[in-house]
Amino acid sequence: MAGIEDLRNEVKRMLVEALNLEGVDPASIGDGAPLFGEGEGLGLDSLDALQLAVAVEDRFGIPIGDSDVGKEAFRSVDDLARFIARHTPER
Amino acid sequence: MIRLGTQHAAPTAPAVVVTGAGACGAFGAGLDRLLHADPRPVRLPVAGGTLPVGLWDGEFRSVWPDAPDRFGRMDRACRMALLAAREAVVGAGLGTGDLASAGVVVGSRFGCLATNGAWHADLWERGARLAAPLLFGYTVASAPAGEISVAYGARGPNLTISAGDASSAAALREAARLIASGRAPRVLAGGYEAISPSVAQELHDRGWRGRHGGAFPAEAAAFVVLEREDLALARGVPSAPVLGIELSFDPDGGEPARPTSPGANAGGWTFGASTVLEWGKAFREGKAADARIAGGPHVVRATLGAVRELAGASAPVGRAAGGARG
Repeated sequence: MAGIEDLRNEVKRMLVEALNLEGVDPASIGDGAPLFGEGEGLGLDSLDALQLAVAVEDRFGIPIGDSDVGKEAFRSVDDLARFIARHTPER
Repeated sequence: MIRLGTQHAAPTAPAVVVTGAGACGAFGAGLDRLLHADPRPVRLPVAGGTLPVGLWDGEFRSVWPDAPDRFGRMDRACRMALLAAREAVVGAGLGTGDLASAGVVVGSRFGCLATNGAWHADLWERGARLAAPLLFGYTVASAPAGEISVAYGARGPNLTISAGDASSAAALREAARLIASGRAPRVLAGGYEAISPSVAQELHDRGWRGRHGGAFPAEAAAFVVLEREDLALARGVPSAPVLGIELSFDPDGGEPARPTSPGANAGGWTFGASTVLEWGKAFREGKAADARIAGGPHVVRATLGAVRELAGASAPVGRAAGGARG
């Protein structure tokens, strides 16, 4: 299983690619910075959340079918990496 | 500042002026490119040879160096429309706060066809569960009008018109009518066409060129800021010669004459696409006001004239200074 640091980096790359964050260096995304909310962190919105849920399922095979689960997992890069780690038995 | 002659307007209707313009497309990004650069068509392989299609190269930093990160998630149609609208707003000397009551009126013949095709391809490839939601959000022809409204906080009337080759002419007419009837003090008005290679291929296969006098759609967007003349004067926009142009609308309720295709050049009325290319060509050849875009309802000519006058004046579209020809 990949280390949590590797997962965080992969999540950052996924965010940039899946959401077409042009001009954003994955390394510049803070581990604990909020992903959603106007004026905060990446400033993502509900449409991005749907795309992100699809990207997580596509890349990691982990479906996110519950919005409450999504809200918790999508709080930050660190939260999402830990969510993926919890739901990935072996990589 | 260019006044649109409102031949059919009520005598008390406020004059409508054009105070800014912007464009992007197969010629590149910005009015400078429209006026001075030759479109560089991409040659797509088709049965029996290649098909030259004018596609936007996607470059936008030269016109919008500090474009927001969220610009990237939009489809090509929205990116082109917002890019052109943004240049028009900057050229008009307006800021976001000036546009709170502004309307947005957009015309497009093909609308979101290219995006629909891309999403449909994604649907087949990845299945319904994983087809891109972001792309799906742009499978509506009104998405560009919405993105422009969001970008500028424009809470006035928001319309998208698709009326074949007359789409953008109809959009400009409707925009001017909104101002003349008092429903909006300013309107961002224009047109867009996004043409993907697959759409171009299909149009070619269906014999588009033969049915449209040799014209073939190209990618482009062009927008103008229309404004009530008194507002423009009050904020110090210099006045400019009145162009001898008719604008076919009737604010008293009569149905305006629908712009009709001149037949031999039906594509010429697609303000957002081939007409924009024709503008550039006409400018370069020094026959801006006639060429293939003359002879019909005059909204396209009005905008063409506005762009030329603005380009030749020192303000407000400074970047295009010296661009007037013909």
